[in-house]
Amino acid sequence: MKHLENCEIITSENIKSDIYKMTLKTPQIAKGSKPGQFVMIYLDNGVNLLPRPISIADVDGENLTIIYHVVGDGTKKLSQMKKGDIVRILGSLGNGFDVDAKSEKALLIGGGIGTPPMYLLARHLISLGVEVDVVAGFRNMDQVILQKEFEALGAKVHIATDDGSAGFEGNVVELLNNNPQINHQVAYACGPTPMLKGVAGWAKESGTKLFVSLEERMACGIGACFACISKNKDGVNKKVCIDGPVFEAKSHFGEV
Amino acid sequence: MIDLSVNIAGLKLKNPVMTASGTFASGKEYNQFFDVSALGAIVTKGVSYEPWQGNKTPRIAETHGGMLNSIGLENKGFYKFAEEDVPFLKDLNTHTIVNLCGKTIEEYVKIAKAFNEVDGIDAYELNISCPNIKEGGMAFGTDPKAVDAVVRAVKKELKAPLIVKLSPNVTDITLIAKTAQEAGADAISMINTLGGMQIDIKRKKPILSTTYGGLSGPAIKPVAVAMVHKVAQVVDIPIIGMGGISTAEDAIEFLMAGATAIAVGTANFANPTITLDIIAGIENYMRENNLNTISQIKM
Ligand SMILES: Cc1cc2nc3c(=O)[nH]c(=O)nc-3n(C[C@H](O)[C@H](O)[C@H](O)COP(=O)(O)OP(=O)(O)OC[C@H]3O[C@@H](n4cnc5c(N)ncnc54)[C@H](O)[C@@H]3O)c2cc1C
Ligand SMILES: Cc1cc2nc3c(=O)[nH]c(=O)nc-3n(C[C@H](O)[C@H](O)[C@H](O)COP(=O)(O)O)c2cc1C
Ligand code: FES
Repeated sequence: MKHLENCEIITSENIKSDIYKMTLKTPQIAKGSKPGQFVMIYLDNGVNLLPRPISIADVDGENLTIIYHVVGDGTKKLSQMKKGDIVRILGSLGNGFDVDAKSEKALLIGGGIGTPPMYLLARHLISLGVEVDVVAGFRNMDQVILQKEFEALGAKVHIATDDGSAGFEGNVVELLNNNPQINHQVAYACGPTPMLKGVAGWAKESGTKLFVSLEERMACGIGACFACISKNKDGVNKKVCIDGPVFEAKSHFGEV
Repeated sequence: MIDLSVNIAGLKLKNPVMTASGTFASGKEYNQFFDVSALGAIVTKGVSYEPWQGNKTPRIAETHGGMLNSIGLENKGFYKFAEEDVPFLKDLNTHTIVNLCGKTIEEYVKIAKAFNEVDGIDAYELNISCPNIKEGGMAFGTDPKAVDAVVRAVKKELKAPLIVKLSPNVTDITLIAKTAQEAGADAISMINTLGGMQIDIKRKKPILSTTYGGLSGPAIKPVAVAMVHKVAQVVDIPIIGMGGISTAEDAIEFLMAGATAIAVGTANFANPTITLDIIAGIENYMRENNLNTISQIKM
């Protein structure tokens, strides 16, 4: 079910350099959310007309948490909003991760600001008794987020940074290649497309079933505008907002 | 008693608020949030005879109070539309208008003929902002001769009423409007998007994959109001006004400029239930101003 709700900001905090965490009271949206789904956030200021797609990082009763990077005008304005302010939100959107692919162990891979949706997924899988490894890559130590939170859930966390300022020096694919023991049947990844393609190559070689969560610019978020197209391996146009954002890597990317 | 109904191209709409093509698909998605039968009419996304793939992404960019798009008229083509969307449209308790597109006059005629065999569509809107591939890709709507030819050709074939949708990217829109009227248009809708571009100064390249796109949203409203006002003085057929409408006040401006009905496009993205607010707002305005009919909304 999709709902349009006016949500009160419960908390908004700057958790790391330009990364913010916001918790909103969304009785209806939070209730129906699945890991890997996203919400559209309306800015309602007359200037920024298009809602911003942001992944659901966590839900707790009536509360929904997002974690986002300030990269432009919209996210900047969102970061300036305060506790008690009302934000209009549409959710929950998209297909979410296929969490029924029951495996004993799962590998969750996050690239930068693609890491937050892995939190709700990790919590969900762990609650089902799945053993979870998280591999998360960031530019440098100032961008590392959620490490303690993943550990608190009981996940095994492996951090990579491009400059080696925290954890492994290199990207997530290099980390995986260097650590053949982190090898599960099922993996879920979210991050920039080049990273996802790299991970898809690794998954093919290691025989891992991989699900990737993609990003595209969106206007409606509900399948009506055809803005958010991603072509699959057969040249078929898929809408990231309703056919995705999660796709099975092999059937979407094909040979990488 | 307040009467919100209006007559356009032989259709009596229950209120003057319609959707702008391409922003509302066929209404199914929005029907999850409100009963789309409350609208005066639903105008579908452009349909071509063959499926069109559209452009590469990025297909949209946000601008100050507006947006650019270069969707490229992606659509599933006539057969799938007739199979998947027409049954939904037919069941609605409102008027349905299908927006038609083509890249040659033959393609426009082909899709018009194909729709003659389809029940349940009340009228058609001809998008003449499509690239005319036989004439170097310039939009049909920018050349009076091409407008005359395509409108005549489609009008001759089509059984249902024909609305012609004008492109604003012309030197004199009144000339195009008169041409469309003389060629047989039953109504005019205007405006389509204005040509625009946005550059990512960090990456030093255009945002849209196609470099240029079409600007829509509140940013274009004054341009659209002026064009409607000019055209209303030179044609007798009704005008459906659009371009940046996001409030009842915006809609009333268009009605005062000479439009008989209005359409809401980009604003649906900023608020999926905005059309309902606009209908209610028009009714309120009429009540406060002691007006009984839409035609009494005048400057
Ligand atoms: C399904 C999905 C989930 C996402 N989840 C998160 C998340 O959890 N945390 C987070 O920080 N970011 C996330 N993003 C990216 C986020 O949507 C963009 O960073 C954000 O829209 C940028 O807005 P802006 O106004 O700050 O930037 P601007 O560049 O000013 O935005 C201009 C326009 O481009 C769009 N845009 C710009 N960058 C992106 C992008 N990378 N993806 C999609 N649209 C973009 C904006 O939505 C807006 O319409 C997600 C994107 C998608 C599609
Ligand atoms: C994403 C998008 C897709 C559109 N697709 C079509 C289309 O298929 N056919 C058409 O005639 N106009 C199309 N338009 C133009 C709109 O119908 C409308 O004329 C224009 O956007 C101005 O109105 P607005 O400012 O309310 O959006 C599209 C506009 C947008 C923003
Ligand atoms: S965002 Fe409109 S179709 Fe996906």
